[in-house]
Amino acid sequence: MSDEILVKTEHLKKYFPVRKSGGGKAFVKAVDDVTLEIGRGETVGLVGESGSGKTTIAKMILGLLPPTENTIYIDGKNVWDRKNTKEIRKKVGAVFQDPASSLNPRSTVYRSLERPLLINGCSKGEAETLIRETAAKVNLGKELLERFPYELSGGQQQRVSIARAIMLRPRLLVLDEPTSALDVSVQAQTLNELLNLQQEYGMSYLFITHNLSVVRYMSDRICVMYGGKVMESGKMADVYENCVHPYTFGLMSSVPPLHPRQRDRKKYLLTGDMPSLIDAPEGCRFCTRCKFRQPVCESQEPAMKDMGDGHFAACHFAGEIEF
Amino acid sequence: MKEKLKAIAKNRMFLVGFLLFFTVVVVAIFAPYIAPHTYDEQNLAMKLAAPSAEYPFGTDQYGRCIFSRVIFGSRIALNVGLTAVIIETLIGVTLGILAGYYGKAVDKVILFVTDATWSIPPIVLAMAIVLMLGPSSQNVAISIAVVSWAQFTKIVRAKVQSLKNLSYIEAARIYGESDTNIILRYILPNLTSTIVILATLALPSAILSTTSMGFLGLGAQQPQPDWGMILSEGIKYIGKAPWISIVPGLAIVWTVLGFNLAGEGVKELLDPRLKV
Amino acid sequence: MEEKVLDVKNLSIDFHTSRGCVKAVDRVSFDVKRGEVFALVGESGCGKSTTAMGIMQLIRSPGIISGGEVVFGGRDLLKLSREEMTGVRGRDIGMIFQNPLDSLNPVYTIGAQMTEGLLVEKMDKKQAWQVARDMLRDVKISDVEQRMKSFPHEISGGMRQRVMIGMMLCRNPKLLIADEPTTALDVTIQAGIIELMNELRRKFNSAVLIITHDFGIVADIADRVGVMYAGNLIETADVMTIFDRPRHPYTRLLMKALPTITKDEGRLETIKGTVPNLAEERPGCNFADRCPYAMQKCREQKPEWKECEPGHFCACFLEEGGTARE
Repeated sequence: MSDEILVKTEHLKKYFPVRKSGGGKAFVKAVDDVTLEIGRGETVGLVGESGSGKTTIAKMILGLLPPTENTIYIDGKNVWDRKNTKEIRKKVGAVFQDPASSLNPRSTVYRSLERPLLINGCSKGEAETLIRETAAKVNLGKELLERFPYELSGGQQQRVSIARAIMLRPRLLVLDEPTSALDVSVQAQTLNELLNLQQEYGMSYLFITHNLSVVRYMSDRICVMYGGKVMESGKMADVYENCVHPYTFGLMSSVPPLHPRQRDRKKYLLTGDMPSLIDAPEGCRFCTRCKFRQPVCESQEPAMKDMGDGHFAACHFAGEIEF
Repeated sequence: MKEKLKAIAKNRMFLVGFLLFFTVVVVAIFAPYIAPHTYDEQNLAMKLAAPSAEYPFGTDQYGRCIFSRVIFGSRIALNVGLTAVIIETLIGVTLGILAGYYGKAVDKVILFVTDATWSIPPIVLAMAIVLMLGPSSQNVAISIAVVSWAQFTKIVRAKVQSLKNLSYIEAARIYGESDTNIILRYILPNLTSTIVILATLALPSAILSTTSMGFLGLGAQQPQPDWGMILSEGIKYIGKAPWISIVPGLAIVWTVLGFNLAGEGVKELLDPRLKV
Repeated sequence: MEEKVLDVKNLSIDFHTSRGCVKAVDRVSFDVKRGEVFALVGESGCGKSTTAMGIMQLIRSPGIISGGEVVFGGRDLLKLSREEMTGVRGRDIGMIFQNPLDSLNPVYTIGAQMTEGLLVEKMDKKQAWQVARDMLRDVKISDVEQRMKSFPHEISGGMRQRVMIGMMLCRNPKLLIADEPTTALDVTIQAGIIELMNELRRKFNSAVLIITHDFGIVADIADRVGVMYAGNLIETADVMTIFDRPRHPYTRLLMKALPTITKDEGRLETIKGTVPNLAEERPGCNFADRCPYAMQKCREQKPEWKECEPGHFCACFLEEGGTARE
């Protein structure tokens, strides 16, 4: 793994305006002050519950949703600077959760794979060579190229999406829950394929999921989000084995074990629901569900604490709490 | 598709619909060969004659053959109806796509115009437009289109709103498709079945509106054989020669019923949500 | 503990489509004992939900139950009249589904819906409300008084599923069927629901049949497990055995496909090929085409459902020789 940084963003914010019931405007702070870096060839896992802001971050990186404040740099180029648009779109690709809606139902697989190439200046002939090569890489049989999406299984559809995403040989692949709609055996196959592709092309992955076992298998580093903010981030093994944020611990002990022997593991179940992100409270976003809460948590927002070796946590008491 | 076709072939109602529909189309195309007389041939000796071998459905006050006039009238009904539907589809679908795709201010303006159009009684608005442009079958087509595009806009807009958030559209935007391309290559092809369904269902009501306008004397003018006009003129002689009004009336029912049933059949065939 | 609450014997459910007869559930046999959680697990399309619907007799056309018995409380449910079955549903067998919002009526309050079933049983209104309140407390809902007056859309997804569970348990059913009860929920909410179900089954000692695709849930709550593949039940055993010593090649491969490792430790096992088309009649085992141990015999005959060790059933020819090659 190289230390060179591919994707960099600091204090990224996305606020959505909403109308208050009594009149006047308020903001949903969907992503609030997120700092994130992805190294070349590295996989960063972005985990959290629904509404934690994972997908919003992905959309901003992919150029689909403009940030409210600050921006994202890929290879040193500002994603949200118009003059970089052409260059950036060759550097990023994305695979989404639902395989069925990821492909145009009216296009054959071949046409779906061809479009990104034609738009970005490939001739028909060059496109064909590339399509054949890429299809082989993701184990997509030749006979499938002339089929329509509805004639494919979910796993095959997802492989087509992956092929389309890597068509332009991007540097960064954003994977938004790519396997949550797939069965276990197909999931394993898809994950393995993604790992092989990464090795071959040296791509960086931003792997978004709520499935902690999958993220553990895939990632080098993980970043745990809650209520639009990063709660804890660091090397996968550090966060897994020595998490210091109560939310990370709660999330991890909520995940069902993959063996019945772990049934009696130490559990810290989170109660209640995520609070509304409209006019979020001043203190720690997590304090309403945290059983280690102190008065300071309600009044003061915790800063990112450096726990050493690239391990950060946003908790006043990080490292002091015994779980 | 094949399975659905089979299932629809088994449904008597749709079959009757398609049968009625095809007779009207065939009659309109081959009118000169079917009709015993031309639509404007007068026989003043045979004014208001009862049905006979020569005039199967009798004659009107000028001695014109009602059967022939009604046969030729199918051309006007289909022509005006079809023109109206084509114009309203073009207006409605374009506005619907723009509103649904671009959202925000564009959506607000289009939605306001749509709602405003919808809130005026259609027949009143159509009459006003024809009176402004002058009565003719062409202007009837325009007026019908102007009053009835709104439903296309509403439905297409909703459909586009759900389509534009699908992952394949987002993926297309990521690899650099322009808005125009997204609309033409990704959204429009996925709207075709919706549009065809809407258009087939709009056709019978457009025909009905055509005949209503004819009835009010705003459509095609004499000696053109407009069904609505023939019907309204016959009213004066309803005691002496009821066939003048009854025959075009039946023709209208035949056509509208046939098109409605056939339209339901087409909808059943194309709508993926409906399982037969 | 040994009392069988539900005994499904050779249940078969066919769907007659224009492409042929699909054997969605093919001679499935298992039982659920009192106080036990039995998990029916398998990938999408394997027939697990159809089996549950078959037990409840909620199979819709073009599906029909083509054979077998569903013995519950000494009676074969398949022989009951429609009215008798309506009496069994809700009272003797409760069922909760994946999406609780679809199962709750949006125009009635939680309280009204919880007491409805009790009032049918001629309980007086005051008493029914008291039972409902106690039940909401049992399913760990705070502000019970307030919640009784809330409408389903006013409470969160996790709370709705708790209400559903409470509503089902109100009438003290002998069996609770839960079809993917937590699939639509976030993990932290899911954990709470599983914890709750674990607690309640101890308290009420009723039998639970869970339908799921998630092996994590199986590991967390099941006592015994049935693994389904392409309409067949291929293996049943207690949960430890299924995870530690699975016998059927499909179960074994699935266990190795679960992401329990990191990428530095190795690669996950995959299963080659795809699920067969169930509309085609095949003489052999449904898994034969994908099975790394498939023999000639596997393609010619269906393996029998056999007890390979006490309490461990499996349908595979490898078991007949007594040893399975690794």
